[in-house]
Amino acid sequence: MRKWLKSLLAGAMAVGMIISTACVGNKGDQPGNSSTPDTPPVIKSEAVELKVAYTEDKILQNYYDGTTAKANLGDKFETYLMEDFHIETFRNEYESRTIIIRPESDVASYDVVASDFTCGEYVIPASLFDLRHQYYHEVTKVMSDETEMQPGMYPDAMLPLSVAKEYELNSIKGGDNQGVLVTIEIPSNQPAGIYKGTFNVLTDGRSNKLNATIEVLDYTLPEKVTAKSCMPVSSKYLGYLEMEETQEMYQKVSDILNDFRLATEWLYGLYPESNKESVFRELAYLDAELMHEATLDPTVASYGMRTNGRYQNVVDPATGKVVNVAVLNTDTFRYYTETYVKYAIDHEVDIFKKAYVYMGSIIDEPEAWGNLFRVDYVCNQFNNALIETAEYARSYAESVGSTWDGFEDFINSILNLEHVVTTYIDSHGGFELIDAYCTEPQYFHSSAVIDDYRQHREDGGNYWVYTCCNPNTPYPTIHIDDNGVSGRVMWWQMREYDISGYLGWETIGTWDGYPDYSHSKPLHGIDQYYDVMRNNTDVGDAYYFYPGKIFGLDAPVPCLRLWYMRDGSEDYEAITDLDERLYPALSEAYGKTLDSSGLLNEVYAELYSIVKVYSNSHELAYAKEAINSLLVWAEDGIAISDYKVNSNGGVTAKVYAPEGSQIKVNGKLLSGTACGNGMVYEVNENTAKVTFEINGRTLTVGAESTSIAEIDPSRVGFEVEVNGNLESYDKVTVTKQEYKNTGVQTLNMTLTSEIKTMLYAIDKNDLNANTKSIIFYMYYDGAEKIKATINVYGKNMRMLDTVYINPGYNVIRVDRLNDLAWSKIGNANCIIFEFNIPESVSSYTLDIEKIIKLS
Amino acid sequence: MKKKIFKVAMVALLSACALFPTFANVKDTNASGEKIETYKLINGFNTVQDAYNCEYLQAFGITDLNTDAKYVTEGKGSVRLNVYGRRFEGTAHPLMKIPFVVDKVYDLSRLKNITFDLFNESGKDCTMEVALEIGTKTTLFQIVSLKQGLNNVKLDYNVKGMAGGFDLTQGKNIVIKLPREYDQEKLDQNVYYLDKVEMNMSAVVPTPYEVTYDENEICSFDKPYQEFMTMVNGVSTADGLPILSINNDPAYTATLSGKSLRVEYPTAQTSGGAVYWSFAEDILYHFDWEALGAQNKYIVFDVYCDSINNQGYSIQIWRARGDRSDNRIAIPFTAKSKTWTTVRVSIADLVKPASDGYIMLGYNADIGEYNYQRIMMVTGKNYGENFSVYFDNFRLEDAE
Repeated sequence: MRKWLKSLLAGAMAVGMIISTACVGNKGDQPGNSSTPDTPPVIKSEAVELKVAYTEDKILQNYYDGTTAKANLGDKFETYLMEDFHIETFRNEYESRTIIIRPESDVASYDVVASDFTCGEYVIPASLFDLRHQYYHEVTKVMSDETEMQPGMYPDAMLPLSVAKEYELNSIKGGDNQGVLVTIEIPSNQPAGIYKGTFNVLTDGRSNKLNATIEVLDYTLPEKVTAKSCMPVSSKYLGYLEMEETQEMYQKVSDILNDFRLATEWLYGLYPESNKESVFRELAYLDAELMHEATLDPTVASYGMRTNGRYQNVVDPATGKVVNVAVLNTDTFRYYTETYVKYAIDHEVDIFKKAYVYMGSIIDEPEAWGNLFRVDYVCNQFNNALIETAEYARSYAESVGSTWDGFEDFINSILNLEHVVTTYIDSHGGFELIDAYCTEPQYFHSSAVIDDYRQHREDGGNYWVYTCCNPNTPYPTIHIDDNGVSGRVMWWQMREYDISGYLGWETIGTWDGYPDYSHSKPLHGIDQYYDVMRNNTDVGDAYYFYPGKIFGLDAPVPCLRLWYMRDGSEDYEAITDLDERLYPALSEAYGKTLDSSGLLNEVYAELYSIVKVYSNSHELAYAKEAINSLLVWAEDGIAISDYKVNSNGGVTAKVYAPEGSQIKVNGKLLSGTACGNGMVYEVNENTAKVTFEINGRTLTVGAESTSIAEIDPSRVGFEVEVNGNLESYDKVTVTKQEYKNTGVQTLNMTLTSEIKTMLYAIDKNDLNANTKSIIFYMYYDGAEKIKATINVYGKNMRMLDTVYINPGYNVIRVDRLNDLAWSKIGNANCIIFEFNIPESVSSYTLDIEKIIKLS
Repeated sequence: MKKKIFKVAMVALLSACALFPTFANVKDTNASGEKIETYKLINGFNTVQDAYNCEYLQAFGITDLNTDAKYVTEGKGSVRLNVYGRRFEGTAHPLMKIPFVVDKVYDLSRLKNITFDLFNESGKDCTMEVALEIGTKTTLFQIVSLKQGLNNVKLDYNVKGMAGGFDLTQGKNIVIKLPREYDQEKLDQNVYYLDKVEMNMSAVVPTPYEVTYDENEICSFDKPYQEFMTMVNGVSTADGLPILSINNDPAYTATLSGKSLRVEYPTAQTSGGAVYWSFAEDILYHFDWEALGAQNKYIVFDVYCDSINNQGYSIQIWRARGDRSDNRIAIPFTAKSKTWTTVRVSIADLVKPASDGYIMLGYNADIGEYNYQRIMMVTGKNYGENFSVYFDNFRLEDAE
């Protein structure tokens, strides 16, 4: 061949190759090591650092590739990382840790292999470990103004490690972090003990062994899930998520959620998209069959029953005008409920008992969508419909000659079918007819409003919590750009505040909604891994799954957020089991009413104040270990009851235990007296920091106590409102005197309803950034309870809480004062009470006994 | 010599480029010498992402990448479509949307045809329907017969006519309807494979028609552009579709002058379904039908049937809004045998709201305005001798 033609063809081939490279793109292409003839070969370091993180700590892929703030964040999270892999867990519980692999040089391929874990003859086989490659997603902007988190590469999709290897995603750039989430579910029959094993982290074939221990505690987490949940899964997004909009795929998503202790809203997922009565009834029957199974399944706490809305002309009572608004379609609701009722009676299964209704398409977030009067209108429709349903049930049962002995309970279930409305109790003065409030976390904003919710339950109602876009940090979120601690702590708050369910909208959103919904577009396949903005206000809300089919899987890929949500849910169930099974059983054994709340309050105090969460993963781990101790002790017949921090700064409590138990408190061995089937040990410490040592476990709660701002009339001032302004008021007599022949000295004052504030002067450094908690002890003598907002004031004022002050003795406690912005408060010199007095109270008496702080 | 070498070299270079089949699109040159794309591989379904780039709506079913060469006609893969649909009768049909370009619009002004390969593995002959989504509108669905096994499908498009009713620069998706399966025991049998979805384009954009309307004119069939203002299709059938043409014989016009529309009805080979002809979207969207209804206007036209029998029809306006199902009113009329008849149809009656009093499941669904889809003359299939019906002078008139 002529030389010129050879080189021409070679040139053409080169051109062709360049073009073909340009035409074929693959987002999955991995950068590889490369060098040119002119650069010296890179001498690769084989050094690999291995660290361990708590699941809820979001360890970014790299902190040192951007700003100083990000580097500082990296330094902070570095302090959260541990050298040791150690898990303390129950039977029937999922526990996990993240192994952080940080090589000095690029790694082309990594792997992690678990060994069997052994404890004597007992084994936790390697096959039980679930290993996940943490897939990193770019977050270009964090959406909360109050967060410390920074833009960067965040872990969220949890790909099976085997898939990461198959698709060659298991490379690590030198200096980067690669997280591998290791999860174990301890079987319910696993003997207790400390199991030892290893994780072999292989980096380009080189072995890096991480020794690990798993301590299985002698307690089994109940299989039963008591916390209700509603995770709407809009089936139309299954077509985008998995290219499969079928009931089978919907069921897979439902099953995965069930593994994470969450439940879909509906059991049958596909919409009817019809207006035929026969279709609605057919759909309801499909629902009922699945409800029958769910009723018998202890891992399912709740499921939704269907409603539809329709537009109807209704008179707005506020204006008298006729408006065309969405209300309950009572016809379709009747088709559904009649079908449910018939099924229930025919099969003698109460499918209404676990059910709820979320009328998200009708009266969702009424403050946002307008026509507030519709809330009570629709609730009234709903209540009337339930009465009719109960009547129908009776007539149908009679017509078929039912002899079901659970029938009357079934009727009660119908009449008590709760409908959940996404609004808050202090919205626009409240709504008369709401059954169950479903409220965003930030609206549980004070002790007083939480008491209002509790009162609503006592009055026959209920309350849940939900997240949807809102809130942002420092309130609990399920966002990608938030550390995971708050997502887990939310379940502790649910437990403390008796919130019975969680609703998270939406579960499988597959659109890009940023910067606003008007530009919303569907995301296709792998793009769902790249684009984490479903909404314009947050990162990661509205979805918990990533496409699995893109990686050859037959189900969607769950996200890291589900892991720490499950941890929180398990914490919730563990505490519930303590309160509702173990302590009542021990109460019978000892012939006393045992109450864990005092001690639990000390544990909650470590994590949050009201609902804002500033705690870190280690504080959360401490709290979990505390609960572990209480449960293990309870299984051994040991209960700590009546725990109180008293006004003298000391603690009293009672420990109930079997005879022969070794109970040490603050290093002292206690002597007990006979009580019921065992002994009772009195705890009386002159400090609020108490360490219990029982059966080889140690639990320390509380902190050192100090009395502050000794009661003295000169500390107290008052203000009244004059022409819209607060002015000093000196007509209140404050005296230090004995309270009602009790021997207790108090500051006594009689106030009238015109007094708006009480200012209580405190001394320098009484309260500062080292203060954990403040506790007020006071008596209130008035016709009914009053409300007070408590603030701390220095050069700026910060609200601590709003509380009810009830007739009698009040112990008012505020925790985590160390989270306040002390640089802005400055030197606190005053505590300000702002009173909210009901009209029925014209005057009342306060007797302040003591203020103490824990620090 | 140098020139010859250069020419040979260029030929060699171009030949060399032809060895690399990585050019997705073939380019031509227009009159100005600019490169113009005249061929485009829309989707070869060679990766899972290729399949994900499409949309699968209304409980479509299960979609997978197929690599069994038996069902591949381009590259190494095709898409396997196991079509379900909702199990409930009367619910919306499952749809697949194939974008011309993912997340962008594509200019269809030079579109000639769309082709694709469809393996029908459902175990029975059937039909599929194909439409184009352009901007916010969708063209009429064309019905395609599918035999079992491989079908090489080609759909021609008259963009001169379409330009009247669509902004052809906003081409979005090819919309496909495949047969659904109600029998829950047979779901996994309803399988099709799709591959090699391509489009061919002219090198130049056809000169658009001048579209004009005389006073009160809807369509006289006298004007040149009006030849392209009608389409045919079937309801649940692809058989016995009418054949349209412009008639120039004054004997078959209502006024013995001008032109009329000739609608031939061939003998249908299969039973079931109905057939229709309809106006193009340009005419449909030129008029505010609801306003005309409020003004108590009538659609008036003349019709003649050359059969010895009368032919019964209904005129329908099909429309939908928001997330509600189609809203159709059908008003009957008769094309009488061997005589011209003037038909008057109240527009108010045609646009009467249907009793669709429920809201689809969804969050705060906004109903929105009506989306008009077609005005149609619907009749039953012809099982006898061929015959023709002539339509003329569609116009607006006041109530009598």
